[in-house]
Amino acid sequence: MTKASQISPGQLTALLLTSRLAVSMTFAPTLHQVSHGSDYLLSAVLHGFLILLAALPSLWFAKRTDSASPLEYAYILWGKGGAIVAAGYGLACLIYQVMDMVWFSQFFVTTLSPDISRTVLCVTLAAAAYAAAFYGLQAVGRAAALVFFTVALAIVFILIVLLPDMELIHFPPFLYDGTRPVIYGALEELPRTSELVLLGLMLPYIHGGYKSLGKACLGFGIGLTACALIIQITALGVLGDFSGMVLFPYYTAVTAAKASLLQRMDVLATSIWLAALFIKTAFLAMLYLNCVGRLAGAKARPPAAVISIVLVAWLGIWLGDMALQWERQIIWIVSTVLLSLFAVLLPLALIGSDFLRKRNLRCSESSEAQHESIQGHS
Amino acid sequence: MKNGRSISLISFLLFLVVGIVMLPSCREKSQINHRVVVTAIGIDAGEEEGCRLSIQVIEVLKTSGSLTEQEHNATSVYKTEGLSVASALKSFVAASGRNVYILHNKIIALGMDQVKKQSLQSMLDYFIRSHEGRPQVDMAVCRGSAMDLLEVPSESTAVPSEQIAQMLEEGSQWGFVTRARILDVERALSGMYDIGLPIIRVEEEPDDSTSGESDTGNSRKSAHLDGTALFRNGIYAGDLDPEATRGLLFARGDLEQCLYVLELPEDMGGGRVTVSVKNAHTTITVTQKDSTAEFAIQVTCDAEILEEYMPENLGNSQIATVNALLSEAIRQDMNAALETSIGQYGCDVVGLKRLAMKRYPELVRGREEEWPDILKECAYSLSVDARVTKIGVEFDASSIPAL
Amino acid sequence: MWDNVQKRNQEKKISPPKASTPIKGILMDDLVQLRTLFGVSADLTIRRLTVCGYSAAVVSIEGMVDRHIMANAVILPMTGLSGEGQPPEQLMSRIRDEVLGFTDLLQVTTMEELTNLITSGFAAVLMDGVPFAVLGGLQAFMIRGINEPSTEVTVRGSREGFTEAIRVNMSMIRRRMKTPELTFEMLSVGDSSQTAVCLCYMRDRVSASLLNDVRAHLQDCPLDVVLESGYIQPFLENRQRSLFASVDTTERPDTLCGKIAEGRIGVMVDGTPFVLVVPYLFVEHFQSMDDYTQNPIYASFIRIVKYVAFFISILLPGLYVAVGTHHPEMFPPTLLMTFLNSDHSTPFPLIFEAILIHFLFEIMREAGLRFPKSVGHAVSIVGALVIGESAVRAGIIGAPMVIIVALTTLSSFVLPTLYGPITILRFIFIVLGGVLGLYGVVLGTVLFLCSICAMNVDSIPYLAPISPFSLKAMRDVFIRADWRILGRRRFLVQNVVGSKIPDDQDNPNRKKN
Repeated sequence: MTKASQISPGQLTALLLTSRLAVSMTFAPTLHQVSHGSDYLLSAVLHGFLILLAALPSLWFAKRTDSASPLEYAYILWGKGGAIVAAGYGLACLIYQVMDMVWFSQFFVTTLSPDISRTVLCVTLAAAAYAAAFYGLQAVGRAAALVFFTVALAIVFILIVLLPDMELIHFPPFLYDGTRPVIYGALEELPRTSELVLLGLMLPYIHGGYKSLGKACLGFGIGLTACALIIQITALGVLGDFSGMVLFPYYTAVTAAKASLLQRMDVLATSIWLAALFIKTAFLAMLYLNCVGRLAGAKARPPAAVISIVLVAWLGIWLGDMALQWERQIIWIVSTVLLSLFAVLLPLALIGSDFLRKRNLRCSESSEAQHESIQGHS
Repeated sequence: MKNGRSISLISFLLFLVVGIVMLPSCREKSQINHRVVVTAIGIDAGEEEGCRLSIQVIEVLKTSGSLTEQEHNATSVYKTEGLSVASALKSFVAASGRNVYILHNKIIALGMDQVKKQSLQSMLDYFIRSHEGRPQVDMAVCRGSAMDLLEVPSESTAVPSEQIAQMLEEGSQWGFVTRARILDVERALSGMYDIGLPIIRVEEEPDDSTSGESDTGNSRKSAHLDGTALFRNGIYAGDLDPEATRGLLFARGDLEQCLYVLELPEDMGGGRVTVSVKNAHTTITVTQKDSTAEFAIQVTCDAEILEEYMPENLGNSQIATVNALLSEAIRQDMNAALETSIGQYGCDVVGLKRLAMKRYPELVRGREEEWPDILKECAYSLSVDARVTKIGVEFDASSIPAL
Repeated sequence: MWDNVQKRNQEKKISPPKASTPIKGILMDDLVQLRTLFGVSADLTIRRLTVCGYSAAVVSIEGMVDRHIMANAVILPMTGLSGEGQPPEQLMSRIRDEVLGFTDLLQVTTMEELTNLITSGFAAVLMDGVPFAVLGGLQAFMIRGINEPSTEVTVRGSREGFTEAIRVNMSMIRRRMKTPELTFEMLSVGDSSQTAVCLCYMRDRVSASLLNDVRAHLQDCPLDVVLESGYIQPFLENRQRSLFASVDTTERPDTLCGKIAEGRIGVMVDGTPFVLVVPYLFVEHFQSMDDYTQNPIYASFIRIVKYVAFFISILLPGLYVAVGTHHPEMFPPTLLMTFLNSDHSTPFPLIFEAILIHFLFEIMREAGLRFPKSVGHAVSIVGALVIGESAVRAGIIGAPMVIIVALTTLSSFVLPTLYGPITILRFIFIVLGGVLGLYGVVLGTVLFLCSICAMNVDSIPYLAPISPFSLKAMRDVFIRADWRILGRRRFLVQNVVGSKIPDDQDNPNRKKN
């Protein structure tokens, strides 16, 4: 990516939202057993607020460094130590891709038609996403804007179609089990918001600097909350407490929808979800290849892409066949580590390191000036 | 330029892989015409602990290309047995060489014998878990065997299950039955409330027509709606008769319209009035009473006089009497529904526990399992405000012959 | 693109400029040189004459000049000239200034210029002792008359279309845009053909950087012969191996006027009525002259119909194959029965059926184009027999597939400029739908979306103003706003959202709005 390929704050918001909706639409609160039902509605609101809080370190970093990338800044401050940061970011992007592929593979096995080859679909998804990554940030950003619009339209359409099947009685009372499920639910969801980790890598490629980033984050938080509420209201309104007993409550609710000629809308929902997942994977692939390019040069990107396609697809299918519960716990731990490291600690460490460097510089300048003045007097 | 080469390389590799892997499967792919399209499934008690399935399928060779041009029944009914629903469906594959395709299934009928033996969850678990299961599939309980229902011919549609589905839909709109789908069963299984399934009775009648595939001698089968089967925690508890079913629909606020034939008292000259009830609106208010609750169910509705069979036309004061009679009739139906479902069987088909939970969570929290019994101890007040709003065109009563 | 051009120039060997041969002034030598250049070509006509005692010659190409005018306005006046004793150069100057009655009067000193102009329909006068030639435009070659354009038919609007003669085309533009800002810049492309190319733009609206790019691309065009605008079109496009052209054509002078009024550049090529328009954005494929002459509500409806037709033409067969093969649960029951019946009676999988029938259709379409018109009706009979009732009755293909094909092809005819990309994409989506179902179609769609979003046409996003989105620009994209709204603000292509063309603050001709 070059600085010539900058995107607008609106495109960044669409990119982040599409990427997040790819997870929200298949979110399974039942696996976390932390919050479900009406509590998840409150969790979603709290989650939106926490997103804005968690984005503050990146925003502060952007303001102090005039929207430099933490990746580049690490090279400036730490020299070859910046390679560790690049490797870390690249690994994080790869891990997120594998996580998404695992989830996709599990979804495929449990809900989609077995007539389509899972292996071919996973490989095709990964390969198509990597091919799209080579088109560049602007292409993915512009496509994300259109995909987000379609996805948002689809989830609103599904809500409208399912309104006759919804009843107020299906919504359990708020805070039935106290505030703990709400808080734990939001904290459960926050580390899985991989977009917070990727914000740092996006800093140099947004028009308008940190103010635009702030607007994008605000839009992301509000938009995500709205979409998550619509999705959960749809699932809860249709299924009631049954939504806490199924793996993919939104998908299960959508299977109940039919509109005129469309007898089953779950295929439509799966299709738009796949489109969002494609954008997310392409986004991650693009950032991953950027890190590879920074580490090993631009020529390393195509072979890295081919290797990553195979790796992501294979790991996704292999891990996807395993038991869900412990796997989700491991995923949560890994996500929390990545979020803490790249969204919070790294920007703060870079800011601190920069502050120390500048202070040392000022000290050495002032001592030189003193030395010169003493020499001048003598 | 280099990006373009990368894209081309990846696209070419992808095309190659997909082409090599997938092209053979294009040939070998199981086409839909190699499978049977199931339109109705009946579950009856089988030998020992198993079940006997009847499946109604569309026979492609019997169709003339379009259901709208179909002149005769395009379906056949097959029997198959197995230890479970899934094994019974698969044994059909072994017997016929064709796999089943249940994504267009319209109705699942449960035989009364099977319903009394097994819970709803175990009978329907396959349809809830399978990706081919549809939540909008209608459910019904059959007095007798489910296979009888599937063999009922249809005069109006090429696929008989469509007629049954229409019957259930119209029946629920007119207050004859509750309409239940797999989605409602799923909701009930989560513990929110109990479920009532419509009961269909199959009768054999003398056949005066010349067509019909299920004719046995000179008789033919016909289906009739016959009340509601109540389930408590997914286990069959008992029945509601058609009047109580109507009352249940009023209590739940699910009634769209229904008919009442009211017998007028002698001081009004006797006779009968047929009224159509519309725009029924139900409000349930929950009030906490110690460790139980009091439920006030208030129903308001409009009514239209369809027929007067009496010496004189109804005057204004008599309309008020009709209102009172109608209100009382509705109240009695509701009372019967509540007494039977809650009082007798402990089935919370109205969702009262859920309402109490929303209004007074502390009443329910920690006592969810006890609520079927708690409901029996709760107080209920029923009030109905029915008003006749349309009386139709009036004409000279003297033209009506004397009773 | 400009970087690539520069790189290409650096990489290839720069050939030394061709040496130009001067006109010697010795008539015999010059005529021999001319004859040598033209070889045994029979259309070179040399008329020897004596003017005031000096040998002279009038050289022209037969069939390209008006012989009567040449005789009356050139030869006769020259032969009747008096002025013996004058030096030949002075005599030639007198002939140029007083005798020859041409509106186009040129003077050349090299053989290359002389041959170029003679082959363009000029008549040249050479005289012994004069090291230059005087030429006058006497073009009288037969050209096709101004007819209705064959590819862009409108209900309401001009019935004039461009012709093969570049000068006539220029006059059609000039008649419509009576502003001195309208500029025609002549270039020559093709080493052998020396085809005249005209850049047509408005000085106060065009972007200087865009103009420089176009000019540079044309000047660097390495072709030997240029017979049609399609030859030079790839050199003006930004991206190779792209389905969608960022440079397209028009046959209508009114359409071209509308385009250049938006800051675009028209590239006219002598010998073809198809004028290139640079840049050409995606949304312009859905705009036509009729949109701007009809009621805005109806025009908006037709616009939406076109967009829907676009999606139908590329996605419908793929969706049908996907749903029929992998997701038949999406069919309503009555449609399912029709589908089952047709699927039962045909031997091939849906994907093969779809590819076969669309391929057959393309064969017939191509046959209909190439076959002489007199027997063209036979193609439609064969087509009806092959694809119509007979194929269905024989059980080779299903009836629903025939309907799908019919609907798809009708939809693609709504957008003739996109016919090529639509056809390719359609086949791709059929394969994707057959292999991966609806998920394959979705993946293909999103990848196609990324591909088209990645296209930039001379630093202008190809998909603008859809993405990057501009609400104000939507007044002429999915709908066509009333002219009272459209006329409020001038639209310039370089100002579209996402454009990276630098603001031409230093353009002296740029007027502030």
